[in-house]
Amino acid sequence: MKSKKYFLLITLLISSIFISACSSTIYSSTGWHGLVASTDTAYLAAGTQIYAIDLNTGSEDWRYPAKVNAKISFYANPVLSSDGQLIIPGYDNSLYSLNPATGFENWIFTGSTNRLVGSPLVTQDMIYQPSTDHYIYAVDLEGNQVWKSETGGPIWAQPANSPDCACVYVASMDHILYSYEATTGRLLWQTQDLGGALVGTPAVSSDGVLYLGTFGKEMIALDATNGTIRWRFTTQDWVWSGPALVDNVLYFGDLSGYFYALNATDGTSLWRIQPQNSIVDTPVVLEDKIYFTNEADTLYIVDTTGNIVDSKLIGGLIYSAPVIVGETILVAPTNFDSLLVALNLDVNQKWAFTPVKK
Amino acid sequence: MWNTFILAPMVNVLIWIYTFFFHNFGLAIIIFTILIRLITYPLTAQQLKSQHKMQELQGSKKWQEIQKKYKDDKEKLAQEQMKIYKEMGINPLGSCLPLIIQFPIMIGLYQSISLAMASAPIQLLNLSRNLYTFIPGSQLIPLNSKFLWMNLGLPEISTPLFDLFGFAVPIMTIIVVITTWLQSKLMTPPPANPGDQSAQMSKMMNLYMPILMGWIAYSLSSGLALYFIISNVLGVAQYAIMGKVNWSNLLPKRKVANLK
Repeated sequence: MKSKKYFLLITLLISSIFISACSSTIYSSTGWHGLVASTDTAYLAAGTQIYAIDLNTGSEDWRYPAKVNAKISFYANPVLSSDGQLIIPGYDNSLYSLNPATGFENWIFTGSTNRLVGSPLVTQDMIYQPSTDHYIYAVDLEGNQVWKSETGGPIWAQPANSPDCACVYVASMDHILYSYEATTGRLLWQTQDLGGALVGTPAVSSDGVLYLGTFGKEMIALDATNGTIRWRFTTQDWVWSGPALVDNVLYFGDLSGYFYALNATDGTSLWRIQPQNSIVDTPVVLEDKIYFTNEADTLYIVDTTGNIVDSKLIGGLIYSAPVIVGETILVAPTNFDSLLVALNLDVNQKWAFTPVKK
Repeated sequence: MWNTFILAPMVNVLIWIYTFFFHNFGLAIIIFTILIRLITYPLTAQQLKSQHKMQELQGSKKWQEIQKKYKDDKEKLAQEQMKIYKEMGINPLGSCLPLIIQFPIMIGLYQSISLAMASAPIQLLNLSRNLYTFIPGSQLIPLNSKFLWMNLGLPEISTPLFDLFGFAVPIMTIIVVITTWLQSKLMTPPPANPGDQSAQMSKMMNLYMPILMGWIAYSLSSGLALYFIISNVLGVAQYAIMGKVNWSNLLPKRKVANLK
């Protein structure tokens, strides 16, 4: 009888551990890697740790935190500030400032009440951090809150600004784009419901037009001074990222795997291709070539007429945009042994970074 | 397979209900639980029937006799028991089936809540792929995850109603433990032989099950805790309507002195 009791108790314990394990798996696979690079170092936000990686050799300079803390994880693109800080949002609701040379903490801002999914906009004197608690937080470069303003939904998109406007553009998942006064957080204007959640960073043109993709299967152009709609372009599927704007042409992809080039003036289609699988992040344009990744595991290079010039099978799943520094293309795959792959401009692999277990 | 037959239908039904009930995900979970209870009603009735047949059988003279006769020959005892089960048309696993069916529903519901709440990019990407065409996902997302004081996609302790001595009080977990205990107590028929193994086993289950459910409710999303509470309350109500609730089980029992 006693042994049956123990059997029952052990079975129940194992079941609870099994179910908890299921939950932790779901919680851990929540985002893709964030990446930023200076001229000599790449900074990779890869879940529980931030890695600083030497761009010439692919070797690890430092990692933060030194020991894994399961409660802290990083997935957004880190941002380098002009005064030499590495700013990284965390899923533990905190915004971290690290010394990019050493990985030591400068400060931690803990004002948010929910996880930080999106990257901050960092200007000369302020950090604008979006939060899933519906607020945009303006924090000075010492980590002190200056103001916060509320939108109607979680904010995942990195805010945008323009030199012509002392304002911050915040795209919220409540389908609305807000413009706030940069110094006070006062609401200047907001759009109507744009028909779908906004998670991509808007592109801002020098002539005062905002471009943003929506989950309502559209790319929309707005007047940056008052938010009125200039034109709408219907896509095949949800547009996750903001577009790249170069020479009055918008380049972006959608979740059905279509990649578009639009005339920024009137929203007419110049061309589109479908290289397969979802395109999640913003493309990068370098001279006359456009670099983008798709979920399948491939980096594509197309010319400005839509011809695929080159492609490189990387591996894993790729959601993050490539980063180009000098003559090096960096790609950060998810679900892959190597967390970061460096290629030459002719897409030959230079090195791959796989962290050493410590 | 799991996604196609369990996860996708569940998440779509939940979101479909959400569109009709004031865009309130808590209400959607409550309605969904009622639907699950209605769908699994034939199984619950079957479980009850099997439980009572088993109860009658275990109190019968024939059963007692073979227990005595083959007490030293476990193999023969099992054979004889099976023979009696067959004769009386009892499935010995009949009362376990509804419990077994609860597990995929529970895991599916947990995953559906996490997916529908889409509190992180990969979950949202997965949600976009699991939505049926009749669900207006573009307009609905993000779903309103707030219900009472909770964020239904996160464990309750991440948004506690209040703290006590610096600790977040898990109210939903406490209610899950109480309602699970009440349900087990009220739905367990009085044992034919209080001293036998099966009576001891059900006593143990009544003790450990609330703890297990409480632990799950504490560590997983609060939406799942809401499902447990509603499911427990409906379970008791269902049995009460069928006239099978043993209210006397809640009263403390007097110990009968063994005078032998």
